[in-house]
Amino acid sequence: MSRLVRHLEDIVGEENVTDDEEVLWTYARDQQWPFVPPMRPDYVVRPKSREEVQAVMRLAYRERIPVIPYSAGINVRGLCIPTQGGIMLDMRKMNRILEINTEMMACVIEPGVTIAQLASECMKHGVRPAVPGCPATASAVANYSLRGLYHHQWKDGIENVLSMEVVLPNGEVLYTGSWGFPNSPGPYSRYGQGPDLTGLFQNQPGTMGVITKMCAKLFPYCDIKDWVVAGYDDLNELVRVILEFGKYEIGTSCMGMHWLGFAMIFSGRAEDVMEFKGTWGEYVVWLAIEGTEETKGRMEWEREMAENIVRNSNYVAGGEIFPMPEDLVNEMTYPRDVASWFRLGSYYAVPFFAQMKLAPVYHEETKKLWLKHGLDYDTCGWFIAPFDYCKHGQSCYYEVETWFDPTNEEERQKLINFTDEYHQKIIEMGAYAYFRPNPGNMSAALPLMGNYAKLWKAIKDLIDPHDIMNPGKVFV
Amino acid sequence: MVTILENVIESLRKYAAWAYRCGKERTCHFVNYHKLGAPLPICPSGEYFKYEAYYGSGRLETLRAIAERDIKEPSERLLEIIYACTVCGGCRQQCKGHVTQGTDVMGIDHVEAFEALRTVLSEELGWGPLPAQKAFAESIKLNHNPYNEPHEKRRACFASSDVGEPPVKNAEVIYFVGCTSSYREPSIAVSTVKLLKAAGVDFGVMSDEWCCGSPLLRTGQKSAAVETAKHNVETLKQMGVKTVIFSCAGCYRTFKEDYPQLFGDLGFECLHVSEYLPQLVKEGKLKFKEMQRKVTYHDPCHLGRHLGFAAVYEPPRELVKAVPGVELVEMKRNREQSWCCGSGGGVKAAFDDFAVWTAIERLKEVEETGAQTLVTPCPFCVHNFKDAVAASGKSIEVLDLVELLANAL
Repeated sequence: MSRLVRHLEDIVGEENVTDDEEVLWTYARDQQWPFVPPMRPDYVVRPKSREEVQAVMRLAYRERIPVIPYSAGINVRGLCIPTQGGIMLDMRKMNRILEINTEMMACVIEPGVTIAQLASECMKHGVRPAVPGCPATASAVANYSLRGLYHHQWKDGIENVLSMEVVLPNGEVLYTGSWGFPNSPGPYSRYGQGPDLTGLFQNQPGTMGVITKMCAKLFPYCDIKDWVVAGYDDLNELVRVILEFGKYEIGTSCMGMHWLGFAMIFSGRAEDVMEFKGTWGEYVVWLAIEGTEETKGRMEWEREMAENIVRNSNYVAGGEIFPMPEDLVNEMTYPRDVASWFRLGSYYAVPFFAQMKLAPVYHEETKKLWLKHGLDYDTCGWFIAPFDYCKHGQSCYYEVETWFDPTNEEERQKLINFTDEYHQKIIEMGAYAYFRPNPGNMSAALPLMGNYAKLWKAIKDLIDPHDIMNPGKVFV
Repeated sequence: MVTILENVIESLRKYAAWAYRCGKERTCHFVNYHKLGAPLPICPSGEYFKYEAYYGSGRLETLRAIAERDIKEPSERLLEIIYACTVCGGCRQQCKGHVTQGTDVMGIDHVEAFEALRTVLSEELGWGPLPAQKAFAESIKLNHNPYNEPHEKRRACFASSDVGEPPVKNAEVIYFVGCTSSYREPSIAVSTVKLLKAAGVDFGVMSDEWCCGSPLLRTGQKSAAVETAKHNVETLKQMGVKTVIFSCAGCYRTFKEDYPQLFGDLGFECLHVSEYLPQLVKEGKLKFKEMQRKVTYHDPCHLGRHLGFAAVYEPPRELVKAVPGVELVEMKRNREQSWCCGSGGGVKAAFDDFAVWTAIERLKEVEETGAQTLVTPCPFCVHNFKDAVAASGKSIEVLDLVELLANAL
C-alpha cells in the first residue's frame, strides 16, 4: 500500500479509498469516450463530510495531486474524465438535503443529491427545484453550478444558484453570496458584498474548488399543465413564434426543434423514429403552460395568447392546446425518459449559447458542415430553447445533436472531424459562448478571448496555483 | 499474467458493445421514480459496495475492460465485482424499453451479459467461480443438491410431517420440490403437498429429482448445469408428465426460461404453484379459514423481472387476498420495481454478509408498511429473510406463500 493511500485512509476510512485498477477503470470512461480519451484516476476517494474534503484537499495541495470532483459523472463532454490521473473525489456519499425552505423558496443541498431526490422531496413541501432537461439522476449541485437547460420557468433564466460553500484547493472554506456576510440570516441571497464570487465557481467543471454545499432556488409546484405543439416548415416563422411567446411572458418550458428530436420524444421504438419525418413539418415548437388553482386566471390568458400566436402563424401541423400527457408531466418534474434517447445510439451533442433570431443562420451553417463531413442530414437533430425570456439578448441554448453507432469507427471519425471544425464555426457564426467549457472547445476559444482569458487564468492561478483542480478541462 | 485468447474476446464482444452504448446516465441505479415518486435504489450490490464498479453500469464497464484486455488478470477485487451481484435484473428493468442499436434487444440485457461473463470466467479463463460456488457445484455433482446433503434424504422432510410422503408416481401433474425446500425449508415442501392434497389434485413427485441447476447457471458453471438439467428433463419426459408445478421461484425460472434455451421445447407445461392454485380456489376446491393478519408480499426476482412479459405478479397476491381476514399491504418497491432479497446469483454462498444486509434493507421496508408478516413464494428468499430477521432482531414473521395458505386450511 502506498504512503498516499494510507494518508487518504486516515482521512476518509479504509473502505472509502481504493487504488484497485478494476474500480478505477469504471471512472475512466463516460458516454463521451469517442471524443474524450479515457483515462483512469489513480485513486477513488469517497468523502462523507466537508471536513474530510478539506483534509483531502490539503493533502492533494501539498503533494500536488490532481483532484477531479465527481458528483454523478453525467455530462456531454467527459468533464469528469481525468487528464493526468489523480484523485477521483466521488461525492455520492454526501447526499443530504439539509434544508427545504418554502418561505425563502430555497434549498440547501450536498453534491451527491440527485435532481430526482430533490424534486421528490420538494413535492412533499409543495415546491419544486429547477428541473434540467437531463436525466434526473444527475447531481443538482453539478448541474446548477455548470448551468443547464431547465424546464421549470424559462422566464427566470438558467441561473439557479444562490450561494455556495466551497472548499478551495488549499483546503480552506469559502462561503459566497449572503452566506459570506457576517451575521447574515442565511445563504438565501445571491447578492453578497462586492463582486459575485458565486459565479467564479460556475460554468467550469470543478476547476476552482469543491462545492460541498449549495443553496439553490426553489419554485412553486404547478399541478395544472397544458401543452401546445405546432409544426413548421419555415424556421424563421418558428423563431418568430418563440419570440412572440417571450414578448408576452407566456409559458414555462419552451423548445423549438428539428422533427427528429420531437420524434424521439414520442416514438416507442428506434425504427419508428424515421416514420415521423414529414408528419409535423421540418421543425416543431412546443410550449408548456403551467399553473395552480390560484393562478388559473393567468393560465387561461396564457392559453388564449398562445393559441392566438400559433393560429396566426404559418404552422403546418398541430396548434391545439391540450392537457400535458402524464409521462411528459413526469419528464418535466424529474426527467427519466430522456435517457431513452439512447435508443437510436450513443448521444452526441454540441451545445452553445446563442441569439434566438440567428437560429436559421446557425442551422444553415451547421447543415453545410454536417454534409461536408459526409454525415447523413436526416440524423442531424438540433433544438433551441429560450431563456431569460428572450428579452435580454434573446439568449437561447442551441444544440446540434445526433445518435451514432460508437462501434462504427468511420462514423465516429466523421463526428470527431465535424466537432473539431464546428468549434471554430460556432465562433465564426457569432454565438455568445460554448455551453460548457471542455478541452475541445476551449482550445478553439482561448487564443481569441484576449484579456477575458488572461484575467480568468490569473484568477485560476491565484486560487489554484498548483493547477490541481480537474486540470486540462479549461486551460488547455 | 494470463493471455486472454481471441475466442474469449469474441464471446464477450457483443456485451462489450453494450458497454459502448451505455449512456452512463445511472438510470439503472434507481427504481422508476416516475412510477414510485422517489428515486429509491434498485441495485443491492451498488448500494452495499458503493463504488461505480458494483452498479450495473460499472459492471458492464468491467466486462468491457476484460474484453479489451485492459484487465488482464484476476484479482480479489475483480472477482468481487463480478460475483457480488445477485443478478436480480433490477438494472436491466430500468434500461428496458430502449432498443439497443443494431439489435432487437430492448435495452441492455445486464442479466444475460453478467451470466455470460461468469461463464467465460469459469469455463474459458479459469478465473472463477469463487471457492464457495465451486463447492456447491461439487456437491451438486455428488449429491444432486448444493447443500452437501445425502441424495437419498431428499424426501425425508415429508416423513417427519403429518402430511406423509407424496406419491412417487407417473402422473399428469408432478410437483418438483427443489433443493432448498427439501433440505433447508422443509415446511414449504410439506405445505405445498398439503395444499395439493387438500384440493384433491392427483399428483406425484419424481423418484430421482436432481438440482434444477439454477445455482450453476447463475454462477457461470454452464456445463455442470446442463448435466443436471438434462437428467431432470429426460426423466420428466419419460414419465409422460403434462404439468410440472414448482414451489421454488428459482427452479421455476430455470425450467421455464433456461431449459428451453438448452433443450428446445420441453413438451410439458411449467407452472409456479402460485399460478396453479388460483384456479383451485375459484373452483372451490381450496377453501381457507379466517386469519387476522397484516401481510406484505415480496416479489422474487425469479418469478418477476427474470420472466419478462411472463412475470407472475398478480396470482400470488390474489392467493394472499383469498384468505379471509388477511390484509395485503404493498411495500413501496413492488412488482418489477422490487428490491431483491439478496440471496440469488451465488451471493448467499459467497457473500453472506452482503446477502443478509440486502434482506435487512427489505425488512426495513416491511416495517414501513406496518405488516406483521412478510410473505414470498420462494424458499431461497424465505431462507435469507429468516437469516436477516435473526441478524437484525426485527420482529417480522417470514412465511412462504404456501405456508400462509396451508396454515389457513
